[in-house]
Amino acid sequence: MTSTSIGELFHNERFPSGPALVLLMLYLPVGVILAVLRLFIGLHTFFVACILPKPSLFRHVVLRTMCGILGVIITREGVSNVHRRAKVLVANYTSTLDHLAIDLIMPNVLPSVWDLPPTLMWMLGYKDMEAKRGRDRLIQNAKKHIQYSPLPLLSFPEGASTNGRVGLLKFSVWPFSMDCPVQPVVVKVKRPRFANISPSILGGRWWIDIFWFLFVPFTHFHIRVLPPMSQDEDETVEEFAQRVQQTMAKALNIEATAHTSSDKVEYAKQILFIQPQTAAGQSSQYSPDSPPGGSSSSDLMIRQVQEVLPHVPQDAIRKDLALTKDIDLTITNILEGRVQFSPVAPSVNEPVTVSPAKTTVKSTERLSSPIQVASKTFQRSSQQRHLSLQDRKKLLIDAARQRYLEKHCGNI
Amino acid sequence: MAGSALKRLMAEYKQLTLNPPEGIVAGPVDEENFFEWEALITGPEETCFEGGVFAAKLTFPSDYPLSPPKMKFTCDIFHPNIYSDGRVCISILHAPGDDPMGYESSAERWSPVQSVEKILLSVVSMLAEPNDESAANVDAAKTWRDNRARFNEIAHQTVRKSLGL
Repeated sequence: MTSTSIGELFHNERFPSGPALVLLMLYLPVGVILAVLRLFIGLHTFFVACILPKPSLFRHVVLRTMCGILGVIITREGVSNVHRRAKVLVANYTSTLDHLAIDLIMPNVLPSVWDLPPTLMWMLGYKDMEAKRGRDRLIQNAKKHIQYSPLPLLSFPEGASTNGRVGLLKFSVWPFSMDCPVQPVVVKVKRPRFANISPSILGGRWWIDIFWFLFVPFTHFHIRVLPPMSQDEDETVEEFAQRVQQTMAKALNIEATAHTSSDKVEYAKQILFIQPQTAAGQSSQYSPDSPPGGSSSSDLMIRQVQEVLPHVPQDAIRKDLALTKDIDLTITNILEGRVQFSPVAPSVNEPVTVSPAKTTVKSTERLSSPIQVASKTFQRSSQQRHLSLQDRKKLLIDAARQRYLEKHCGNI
Repeated sequence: MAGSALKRLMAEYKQLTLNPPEGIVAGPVDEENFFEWEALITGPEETCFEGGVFAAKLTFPSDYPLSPPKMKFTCDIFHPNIYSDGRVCISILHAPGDDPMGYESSAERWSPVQSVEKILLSVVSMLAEPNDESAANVDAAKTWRDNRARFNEIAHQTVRKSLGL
């Protein structure tokens, strides 16, 4: 279906190169002042957006104007395609503010995937549909929402942002399992040539994305509403999702790829984690490095901890990560027994512990005192650790030698 | 992937430093390369390898812990499950799927829930109880089976050699 490599789907660099970069440097002072001014205006806009009721015309006009001042220009196309019964909006995901831009054209609700406090969630237009508690729960809650709320549900089935230039990621199927028609919406983001900063980059953080939104003179969102689509009778949900993906890709004049959002996470790890490490040398590798991946960073952190400690359940990791916000600290906490959990998948674990267990039993039964060379501390610097390791090795050999000589005295 | 491999190795190194099993010391040969470890294993008591301290090298793949490390003794050791070049042949070092001997159950195989510590403990129990059914060193397996006295004598020499005596 696709020949596009995953790397082409994302921007790695925030800034353009060549002559465009020179123009950007000239624009820099203006941009910084603009960003600061807009930050304050933006806060006001944010509160206005919270206070005014969602589907009102007044809110729409006020917000469009204020967004214009903030440099978010929105144009729309195909509004006649908006269908009252299509309660699920399906959009491609290119930047942090896509949700806001679509919201201004078609007020909607976005199921939240983060653990935000309820007030903040309400202010941002998110709705907690318990996505964290599993897909079934999300679908159940979303269906309920569709039935009772006048506002449509917005979804980004790609699950991760792309640069919107080359291809769409493979769609997740949940928005298509609602038993109701979906309204495809395609978003194109453009910035002026002299300040062509990528709206989202691989591993970028949302607040940095927002800063650049305020920095550039304007960002143009072109939102095109496509006619609603519904699932055919002889079509599976997967096929339906794929058909919508292809329709949207065609509308954007890009490719519908088979890469998934987890492929993106893997790719981001490759690019952001391995390459800088090999380049920067190994000494800096153990510093608490927060992972790449922007919005899904907490999931990514959990995954990384799980790769190291696969027997620890996700919930326990998430809880501790929420406190430490640091992979290494959490790993240390778990290893040192400060995190309570019941291990998962013990079935894989058990058979192997049988044979080593025998040895440990044997060694505790021994009459002579065991040679255990434990270090009291785990040194911070690699040199000290190395010295400590050398010392312990020598200690072990010396002790073994001495014991041997004691035992076999007569033989020597 | 290498990032998580490093984190995991670091975590295991810490664990083995602060709370090592008896008679075992293990850590990176040089922290410039965390994927190459050295381990000292004491021969289990009441066996022919009693008292010896054997050095081995562990080489980790970049996708550790998804794939198992390789282990090789750097000292001479005459044992049915150790190739004459020092490579160790035990089930925990094989990922399920690649089974050179064809009869190991996948439960005893490598999986990310295993660890360096478990490998080293398995090697200790392998030293105590050679498995002559899956011989890596046929000569050693034969000696072990047919001429135990000779095997013990060789083992004893190995022990003395390992202690530099």
